[in-house]
Amino acid sequence: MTDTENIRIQYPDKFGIKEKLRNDLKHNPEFLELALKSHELLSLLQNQKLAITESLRVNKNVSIFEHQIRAAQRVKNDLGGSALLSDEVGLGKTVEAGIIIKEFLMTSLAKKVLILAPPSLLLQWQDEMISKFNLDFVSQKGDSRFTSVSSHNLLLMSHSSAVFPNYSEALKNIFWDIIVVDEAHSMKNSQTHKHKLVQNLSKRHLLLLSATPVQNNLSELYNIVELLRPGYLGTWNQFKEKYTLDDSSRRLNPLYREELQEILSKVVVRTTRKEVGQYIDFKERIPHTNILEPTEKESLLYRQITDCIREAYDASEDSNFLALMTYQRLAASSTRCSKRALYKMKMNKVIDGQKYDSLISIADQIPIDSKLLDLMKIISSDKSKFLIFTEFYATQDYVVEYLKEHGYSVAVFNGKLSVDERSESVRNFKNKCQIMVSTGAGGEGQNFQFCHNVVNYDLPWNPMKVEQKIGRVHRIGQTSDVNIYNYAIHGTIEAYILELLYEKIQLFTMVLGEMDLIFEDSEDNSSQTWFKEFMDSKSESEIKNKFSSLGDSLKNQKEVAEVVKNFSSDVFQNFNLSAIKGEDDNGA
Amino acid sequence: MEPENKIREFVISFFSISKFQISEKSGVYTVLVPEINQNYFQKSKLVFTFDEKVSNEVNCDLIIPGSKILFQIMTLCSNKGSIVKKRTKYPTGIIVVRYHFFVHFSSTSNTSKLFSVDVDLQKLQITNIVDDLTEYDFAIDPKSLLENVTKSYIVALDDLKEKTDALKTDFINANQSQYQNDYKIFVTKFDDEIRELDNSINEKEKTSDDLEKIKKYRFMIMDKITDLEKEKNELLGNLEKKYKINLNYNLIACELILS
Repeated sequence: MTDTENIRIQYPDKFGIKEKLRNDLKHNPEFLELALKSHELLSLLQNQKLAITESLRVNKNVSIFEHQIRAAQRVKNDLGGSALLSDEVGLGKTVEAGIIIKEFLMTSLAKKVLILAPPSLLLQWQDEMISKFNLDFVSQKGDSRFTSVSSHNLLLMSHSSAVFPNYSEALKNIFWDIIVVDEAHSMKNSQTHKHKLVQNLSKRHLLLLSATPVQNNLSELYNIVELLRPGYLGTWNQFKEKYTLDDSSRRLNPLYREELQEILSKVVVRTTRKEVGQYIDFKERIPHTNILEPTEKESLLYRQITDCIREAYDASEDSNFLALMTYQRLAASSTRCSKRALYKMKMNKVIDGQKYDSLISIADQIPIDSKLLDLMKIISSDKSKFLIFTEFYATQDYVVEYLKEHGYSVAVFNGKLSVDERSESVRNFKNKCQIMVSTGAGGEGQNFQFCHNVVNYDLPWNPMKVEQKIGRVHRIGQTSDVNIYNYAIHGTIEAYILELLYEKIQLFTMVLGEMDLIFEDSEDNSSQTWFKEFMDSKSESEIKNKFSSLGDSLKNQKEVAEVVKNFSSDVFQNFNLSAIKGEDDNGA
Repeated sequence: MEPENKIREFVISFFSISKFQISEKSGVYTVLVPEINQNYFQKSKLVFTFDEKVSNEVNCDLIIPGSKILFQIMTLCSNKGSIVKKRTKYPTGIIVVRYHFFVHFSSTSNTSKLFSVDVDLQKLQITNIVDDLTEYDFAIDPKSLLENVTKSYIVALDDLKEKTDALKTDFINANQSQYQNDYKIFVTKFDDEIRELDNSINEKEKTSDDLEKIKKYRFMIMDKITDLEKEKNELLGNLEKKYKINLNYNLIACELILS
């Protein structure tokens, strides 16, 4: 590389100062001092080690911890802006990536940033970047603002979409200042399209995020480091010969452990839960799963609605599938929601007027939902704050009205509120109200660490949504163990999901971040599978069998994730890759 | 001056110069944003402090590096080029142009600094005015401006390049050293991989008598080597892009001085 080839020299005069001088024009004279001072400040910030540290420390929307700031500092100042962020689950790798992105953007070191994440985590990324760092990423999936990959400076894409030929070619034509790859262990195989794509993208800085970079053998670690610094570990044969003991490359050669540690410390930052245990008190999740016996009328209503849906399902083409699934979910949420479902079913000719009237008359005979009755008992015996989640507005209205009628102070949170109204509602919940009733929107971007009771009044069918909701309350900074109350009515699809799927894998007690490892590859279509199995089953025992076998398969996935996690931990055991110790080690 | 003090001085100057109504009580500043600027600041009233302790007690924004208001003000100010006419205390009729440059070098890291260069507009020579200046409007021969502005700018740029030469050399050297480091391990790995493949042909020839098989194997390895060479060239291109250097000498403001 010679100077002339790779150096671009520019003499910009973006304000047209020379032209104005020639024409003897004065221009913004009052701003001369300010313009000079602002550039002086910019220079000062650009030359600092981590300019935004202070603002992050005091940002009330973000709980930033020492290890996260240290990790960001190490990546920026010592590792050239590229690294494998390999903290153990739940320590905030996303936040570390966010700090680095924000820092680089703020100091004009970056303009174009691409985040590649599994499809199930796209929303979570978008949410965290905007709420914690005010970084408005456009998502290629489900975001109406998305036009093309070249049109957005801050772009979020799924791994799987990025490898589509149309997208991958367009991505390769762009020079990216920063690329972030979440769950980077999916790049472990160098022969896959994903790996090759990341390898071939033009980029200045690369951040790879994975709690488990080594899943089966050390070639995976080798391949991931190859993305960061091609050639850094030599050829695979050289690496294997020196650092591994067996043909399967599953064991480290203890003779070269220290040497490998030294080499990896230039590309990997890893903090363990044990290391941060002195200042982060990890709290437990305590699930209370309440599968209630329905009243006679509730049972009748649900069964009859389900029969109507099943009849339509058997008769209809796939185009109706999602609508039918929605009716089924509405029917299980609350009686008021069931009425909403019936209305929609009538409008879409799933049922006729006569059926509608007869089912509405059954619904009208239900004075109070069994779920609400049970919830009232819990709330009345515990004066602490409760965050109640429901997926539907009709249920939200129903629960709020009932609670208010019974003298409770309630804050309401949903997607219809403006930004100001949302802030006001959160403030009210924090300062005045005992209860907040929130729709799904409340799960995104809001922090409620001041509350330690979460109620899933109805059950999100997407497990990542469950995590997102619990995560509002059970996060670093929570000072009490968190109670998670889950409701379902016996005989409903929700009851099977709760009992035979989520209970089997103990979904509600998973450590923060663990769920990502199990469900990262899910394309949010598991709920459709579940609904299909429910509809196709002709008896209760058939449903039970099917859900039980789905649960077994999830359990297997969890066990595999556990093995993988342990293997990564074994490989890194006794390795000094921690950001916390890093600064001292460097003598800084 | 500490960054915190610089920030405070800068922010307060901004609101004063921009004639926003500003008041302060116990470390909390309240600024009424004129209607014309409300869209930009997204608020009609800004309430902020520079003191972390105060921000914990009062519900207001804290202005420190990275805060939104500071970023908004800096963006606003750095997007307004400025030309001012001034005079020295005892002028003798010499007209000097003071060019202000924001020099920004960037690659995998960056560095930046403000520089100013004084050029005698008539003689087109570098000069150095050390006197205090006051704002003062005066007439200049339009012909002289038309003819000499570009020339004076070129003189200023030459001087600027000289002044920033050490900064530039250090920056380029540091960048080159990183590049060379990466380049070396990168090329070594590919060359070693190609050598390993090459050696494997010799091994095959030693251990097998089946000429047809050896021939097939050789072709397969040759294909692999071709692919590796291709991959090497592609990745080398990316490595060069990564270490591309931008040297920007931004002209951001200017003073015409009657000296």
